[in-house]
Amino acid sequence: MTFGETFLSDPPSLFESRSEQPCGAVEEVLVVAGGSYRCRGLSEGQGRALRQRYETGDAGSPPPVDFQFQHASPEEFLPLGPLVRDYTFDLEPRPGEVLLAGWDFAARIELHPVFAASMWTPHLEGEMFESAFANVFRVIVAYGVLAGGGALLHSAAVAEDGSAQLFVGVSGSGKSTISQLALDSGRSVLSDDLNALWRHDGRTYVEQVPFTGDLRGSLTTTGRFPLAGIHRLRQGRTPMLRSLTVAEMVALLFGCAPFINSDPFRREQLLANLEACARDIPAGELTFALDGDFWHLLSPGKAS
Amino acid sequence: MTAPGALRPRSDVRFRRVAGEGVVLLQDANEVLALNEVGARILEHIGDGLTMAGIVDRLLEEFDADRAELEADTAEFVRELLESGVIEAVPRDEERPDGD
Repeated sequence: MTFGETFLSDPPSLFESRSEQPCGAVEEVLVVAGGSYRCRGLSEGQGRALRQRYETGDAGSPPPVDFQFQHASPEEFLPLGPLVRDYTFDLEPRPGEVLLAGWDFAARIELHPVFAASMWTPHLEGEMFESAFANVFRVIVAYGVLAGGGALLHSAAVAEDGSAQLFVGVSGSGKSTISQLALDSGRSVLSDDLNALWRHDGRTYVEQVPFTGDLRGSLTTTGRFPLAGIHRLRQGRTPMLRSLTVAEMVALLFGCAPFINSDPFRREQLLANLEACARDIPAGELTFALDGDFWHLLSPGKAS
Repeated sequence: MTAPGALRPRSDVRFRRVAGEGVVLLQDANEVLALNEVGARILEHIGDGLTMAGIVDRLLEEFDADRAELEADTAEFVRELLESGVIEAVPRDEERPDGD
């Protein structure tokens, strides 16, 4: 199956150079995980949706990533049928760019010589636009965080006393469970789904990103925190913490980095970023029990 | 110890030193493996074109270990590297005349 053929009526033509046809004249700057993204050519409805869902702000430093919105004809997209709810969009990494195609959207992320993005959709407002935008924006942010020396990771992040612990593991390992246990014990959760790791002034930070998770709506903390520990999750009866080496942790984190870990042109940069982020951070495998009696293992000397 | 022919890392394999250990990226399989310090050295020696005997000799210089134990462990580890697609046997017509 070739790229885009499930979603686009003529994949090559949509990405070929053509005259710009913005969805509107609205502009918003979205601020996410140490980067800013100038969304241009938005319709009124699209701009309203982004303001409601994402943090907006002024373009800071470094300059924002240019993100253009183009209005495409509905005929350029193929219908997926009334029963389709969950699907996987197409992602095609290339040496200097990444192409995306999904249900009523297509996008190009240019990585060289400058980082910029374009998105095509026939929807000027509504759920289909919001869903398409979220799919595209997650990928853009993943590449933006990578360019900034970090990584977007499937993970749960729990904040306490001004720092955060990151929990990683395969689907079903307990990220949402440990997040709920953290909330039950009065701790704050950044996300139980996706978090960004990045370096600043010689330290590794974990930052919330505005994407969905099971606990979205229950989360009480925003912002970034110095990273205090990274833990592979394992459920069991007896709580314990076993140390992992940096190499073991880098290998584990690689598997948790969506989009980038399947990009053959950027995997080595991902490994370098993960090594930089994890090198000075205590790492271990946490066996935790549902009664929640394990937090003291993460903060020695402190009661649960 | 059975002496296999010459070995080499597969062309899609990338190796990084990480805090004294090693991380191996298998591009085609899209997998990453972590190697401990000795495992990382063995892979580096394979990349340098050493034979099994040469690798063991070099490891004996680098680590405090018993030769018989090291030979057995190295052979086992090399077998695992072959099975996991990290290294491959060099075809006879590509072998260098002097591997050590």
